[in-house]
Amino acid sequence: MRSSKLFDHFLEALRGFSKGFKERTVDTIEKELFEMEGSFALLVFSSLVGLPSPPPLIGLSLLPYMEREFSIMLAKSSDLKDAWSVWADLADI
Amino acid sequence: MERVFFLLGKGGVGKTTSAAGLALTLADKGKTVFWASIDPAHNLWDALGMEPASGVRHIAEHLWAQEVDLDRYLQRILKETTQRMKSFYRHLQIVNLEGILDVIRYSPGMEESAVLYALRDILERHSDKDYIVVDTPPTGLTLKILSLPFSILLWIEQLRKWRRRILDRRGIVASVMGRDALGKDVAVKVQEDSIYRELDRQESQARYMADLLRNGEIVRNILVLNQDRLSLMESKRIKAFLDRLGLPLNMILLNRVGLVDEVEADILEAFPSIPLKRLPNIGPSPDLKGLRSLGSLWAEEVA
Repeated sequence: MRSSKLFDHFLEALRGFSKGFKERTVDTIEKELFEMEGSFALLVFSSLVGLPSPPPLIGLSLLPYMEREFSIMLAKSSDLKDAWSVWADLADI
Repeated sequence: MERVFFLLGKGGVGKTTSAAGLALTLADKGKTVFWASIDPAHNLWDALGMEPASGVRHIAEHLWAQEVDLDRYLQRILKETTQRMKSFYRHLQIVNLEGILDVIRYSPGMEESAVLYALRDILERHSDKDYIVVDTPPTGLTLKILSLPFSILLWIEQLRKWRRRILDRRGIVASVMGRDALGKDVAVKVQEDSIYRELDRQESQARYMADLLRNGEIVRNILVLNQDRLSLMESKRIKAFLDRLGLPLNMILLNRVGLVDEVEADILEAFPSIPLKRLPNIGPSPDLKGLRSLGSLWAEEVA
């Protein structure tokens, strides 16, 4: 009984390690992904920051599907106030 | 749809009267013709001496005409966007989204977008006609309209590349962390992605117009000019623009010959290999008979 419980704890610890390793593996890719998603929103609606934008029909047709990209873009721009913490996050400090 | 004629040229050179002559002459030959004006400042009905009217009008045997209401097309674009926005963002039901998006109609680029949308709609709706004659706005807007499908295609190519990179990375994250790691409805494959699908849809619409504009079998671009220096200079710019986009120029119409004769020799030099027709000056408001007689001088050759 006791050894079975010990084994469960051991498995749980292994799962934790595995999850940690997995998260670490995709961490950089996820950060890159968020950058790209935010940049995609900026690219489609670049007139928001004063850059030339695609013909308006493209922006208007994509507008209904861009909720996630917009949220990421807005989160990114609010993070700009706290550039040090973003840097620390990227450097994994 | 055997042919689509675009009449191009500087404002006031006689594009609408030339279009009228072409449309009437072709209809007289027994071909079905649809004549559309996509100029925001229309004068199609004025050229025919008719009262302004909305919608399609049957003006002679085999001939229908319409001054395209661009405002209606703008409203249609905005209405479609608003409806799709509301179906995706439920919280927007209570916001006056129509009022907010209505401002977009005054944004740069919206006018040519509406004209392109209208043009595609007309070509699809009247594809059963033998000939479609398009009376275009003055040069600046026309060149923007003609180049729009090509710039849309360039942008879409880049956006699709960007999108594929995003989906690749989402796929990696999903394969390691699980399908819903980034959120329940977040697409990880090209086939599931609404944005990619919409880019595909926009691409096929722009491709239809770009392919048509470059189709030398169907499209006939006719450049109308007068014998004055400004008209010639602008016509040269139109020719250079068409060359850059790979669009054909099929005929030069030298309109109102004899009214001013500044640059005849320069005109011949500027367009050496393109058929040129001289149309006499027949006064300020020619009647239907006058329009027909003008059209009969060149219509068959370009058709």
